[in-house]
Amino acid sequence: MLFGILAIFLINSWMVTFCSIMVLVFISMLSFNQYFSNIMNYIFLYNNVSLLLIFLSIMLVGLCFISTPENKKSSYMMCLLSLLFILIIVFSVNNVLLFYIFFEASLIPTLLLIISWGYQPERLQAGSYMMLYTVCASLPLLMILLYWSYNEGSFMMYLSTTMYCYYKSMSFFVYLAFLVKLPMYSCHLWLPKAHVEASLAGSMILAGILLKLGGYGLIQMNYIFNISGDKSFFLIFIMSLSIWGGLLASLMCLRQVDMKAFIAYSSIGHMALVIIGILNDQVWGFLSSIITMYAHGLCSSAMFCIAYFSYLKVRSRSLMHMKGLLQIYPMLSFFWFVLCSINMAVPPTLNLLGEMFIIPSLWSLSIVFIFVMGLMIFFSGVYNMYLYTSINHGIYSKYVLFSFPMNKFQYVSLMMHMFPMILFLKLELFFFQKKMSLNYKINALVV
Amino acid sequence: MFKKFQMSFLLFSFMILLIVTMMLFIYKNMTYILEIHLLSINTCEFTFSIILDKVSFMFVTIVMMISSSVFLFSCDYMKEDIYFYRFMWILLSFVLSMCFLVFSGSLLFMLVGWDGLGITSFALIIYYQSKDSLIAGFHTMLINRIGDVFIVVSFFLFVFMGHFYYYPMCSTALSLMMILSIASLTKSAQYPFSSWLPAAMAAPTPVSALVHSSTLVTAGIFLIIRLSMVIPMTKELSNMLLLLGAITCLLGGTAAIYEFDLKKIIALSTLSQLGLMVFTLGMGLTNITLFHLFMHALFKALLFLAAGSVLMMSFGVQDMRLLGGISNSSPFGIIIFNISSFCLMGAPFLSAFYSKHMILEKMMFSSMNILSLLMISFATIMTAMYTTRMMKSLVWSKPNIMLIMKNTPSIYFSMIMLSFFAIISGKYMWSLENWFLECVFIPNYLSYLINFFMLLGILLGLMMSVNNSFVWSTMFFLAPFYIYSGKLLNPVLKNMYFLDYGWLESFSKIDMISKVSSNFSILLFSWPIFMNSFFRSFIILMMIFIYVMNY
Repeated sequence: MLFGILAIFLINSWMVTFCSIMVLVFISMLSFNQYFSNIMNYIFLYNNVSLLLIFLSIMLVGLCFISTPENKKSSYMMCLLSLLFILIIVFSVNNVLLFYIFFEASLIPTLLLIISWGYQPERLQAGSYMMLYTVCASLPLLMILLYWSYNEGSFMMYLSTTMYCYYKSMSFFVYLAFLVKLPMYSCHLWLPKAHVEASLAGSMILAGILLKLGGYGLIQMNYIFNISGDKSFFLIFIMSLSIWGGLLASLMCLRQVDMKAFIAYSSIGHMALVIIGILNDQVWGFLSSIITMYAHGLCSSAMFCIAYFSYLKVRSRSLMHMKGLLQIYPMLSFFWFVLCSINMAVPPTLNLLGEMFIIPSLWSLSIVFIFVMGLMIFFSGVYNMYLYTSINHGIYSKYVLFSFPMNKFQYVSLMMHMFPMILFLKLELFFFQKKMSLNYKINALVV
Repeated sequence: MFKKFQMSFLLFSFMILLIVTMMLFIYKNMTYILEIHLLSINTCEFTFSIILDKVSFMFVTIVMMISSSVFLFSCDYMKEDIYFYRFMWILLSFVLSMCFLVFSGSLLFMLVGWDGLGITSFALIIYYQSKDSLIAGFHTMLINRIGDVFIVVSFFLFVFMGHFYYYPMCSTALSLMMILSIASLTKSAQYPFSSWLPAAMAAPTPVSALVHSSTLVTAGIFLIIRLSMVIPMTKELSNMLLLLGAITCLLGGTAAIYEFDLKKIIALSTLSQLGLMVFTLGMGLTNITLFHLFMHALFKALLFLAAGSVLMMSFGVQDMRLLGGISNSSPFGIIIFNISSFCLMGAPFLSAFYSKHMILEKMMFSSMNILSLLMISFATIMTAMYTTRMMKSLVWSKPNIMLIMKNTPSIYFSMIMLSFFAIISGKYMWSLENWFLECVFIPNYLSYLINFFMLLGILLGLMMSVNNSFVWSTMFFLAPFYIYSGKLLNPVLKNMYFLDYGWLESFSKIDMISKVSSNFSILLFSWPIFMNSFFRSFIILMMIFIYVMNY
């Protein structure tokens, strides 16, 4: 796969790039068929989660190419492809230092996507917000990782034999990098700004994969430091902050007027589930967070897509100006309806399974968490239908310009977003076997 | 020209197919459960299962029967709509999700039907592009969403049981049954949640005919029936159902007396009939509930179709003070209206007679709290009362507006088909399936008393004339409570702004650093000379890092 992308770098043509990315999608789908729960060599490490996320990132980069056919400049292509290259390495690397470096490096193409293809001068501020939040939060992680590898005598993630508890005191700094990346509420301010200023491809990639990078990072850190799962004060604090924050973010949605900020806040609400699922470290929670990552990646990216398509019709992203699209562009509002339904977790979509499977894990914490979760599900219904109706219902507004019906590439892009949701028939893919082998063996030897 | 009848033909032929299958299943008395395995975690099997038995086949047959006539009716009712096919497709998906719910055996499949009903009903209620329908749609959707939340949240109880079917539940699952029953109370509009049902009248009339007869509102009752078919309910649950059912029955009846909107009266009568069904469930009579549900579905769909034909004549005027004298302009419509309202009252030997009398006699027979019994008796009187009042103002008096007869064969055919079923199906179903038979032992005068209730109601309805009453027509302030409860959210949302852009923003205010060290930060945060300052800060960080590593 990596060599495939390297080859694309050399051939500088839109057609070739696009076709080979489509081929790569199928190759990455082939790798779902795995015989072992973990495949590891000196550099690379594959498991269910990483393979799913690699598939997701290749898919979404391909969809970016589909949705913006008017932009065929080589710099744009290079930007997306280098991002894809970095993402694939992050999701599959075994070396801790390389993981950190590429985790940070993924910011550079994203920043370029925001700054060079954004719309307004505020994009500079948005870019600096994004850089400062994520970089500042992840610098302590670098030191801890170096300290860890100094202790272990190796950079390989899989060989971690941590039985010491002294990483527990550092767990705040370990998690902080990824909590900002995900983002947890209270570290989230960069996300709506970045989404509002980014171009279509920037938002799609940012919502689709870069947020999931945070989730993947949390899983890997649990792998390495073995700090999650105990009900320590700190973890409970983080989990309750994130679930209340998810509720606040869904309330915050109701007062947005910008479509893109709306979708960004709704994704903050969904990411709260990922944080809890991973940090609580139980089978149902893990399953839920992986499903949510995958489903939300596709769904929110599709929402950004359709927001952009309706922006093209109205030339405004404000919910005040959009009204009554149902009468003028029926297909567009059909897709709005389907996507809003998927985002509010209507069965049989994967989003629903993600929301359902978190509940046994929440129950093990407290009944209050389930109460908050119920409110969150309720408000997700409220804001999604509010979004749908404020755009599509009513007499159409005078601000709507003359335009064409949806193009074919727009249909293709939206349909292709929904197509991978069919994986709910193959739920074993999301079932993540936590690392059992080494730790347990060593424990057994010690005993 | 037959293209727009295609869905109706499809549903009709499905109905014939399903009648044959239903006969087979009743005759052999068999049950098939199909399971599709999705995932298993720690011996917890997450499955997707389908139940095929006589209950589900009977239910689907009724649904197909009603929906085929409603589709035929809406071919004419909606023919001036330019988005006719969109309407038909949403309506078809609505019927389809009800069928999913009926055949479902496990949680996931049930949710497909359950949420599908919620979503498609929302799309249908906001079908007209007006502000009123938007408010009504949100009202409906949000109350239904409460039920969804209850079901999703009850997932952990399913995990405790170790399987996800709700059909063969073990007796340890009683708390689960409680939560699912609360969820189904929201769907079938029982007392604290009942205000959405009249509001849902903003939808086109064929939608109301489907929603109020056999699809949306009966989903909750069907769920409780499925749950209580295997294990009996606990005392607390059945008491709750008895009380809530009786309250709903009474509230629906009183609100209907003080209402002037034709469609809303029929909706409120649905509410009181639903209350009666939940009441019967509380008595533990699953079979009679199902029987009454079927009968009610048939005559209520007929009543709505008749009201729809009246609306077609009056160009959408629903106020009963303006309508009147319909027996002159459309004798056929008034015949249909009469049949269905006599069914609603429980007139002898029509379909609902068999079920409603049985319920009332069982109520006299069984032991229960006197409060619920009195409320149900009053509600029975009121049913006859508001039906008579409605008939009186429709049939007698002179019309205040122009009525133009424009009915066509498709409307006639659909109404004749449904009225045929509404007349015969009580006796027919009873003789087809003896599971619906029950016996009662009560003194003679109690049985007369029930007939006396109906006659008293008719008499009162003939004598009565009412004024507008805000208290009763809003179901004791229930509807304003739900509509204006959104205002509670306003101050929260207002303060959310301060939380995000007040506290969090200034807490992490990036510009604030500039006040501390202005020169440095101007270099850092002004982009054109970004690279320079970036490297400076990078060097500083590297120095810190090297210091730490040496240490």
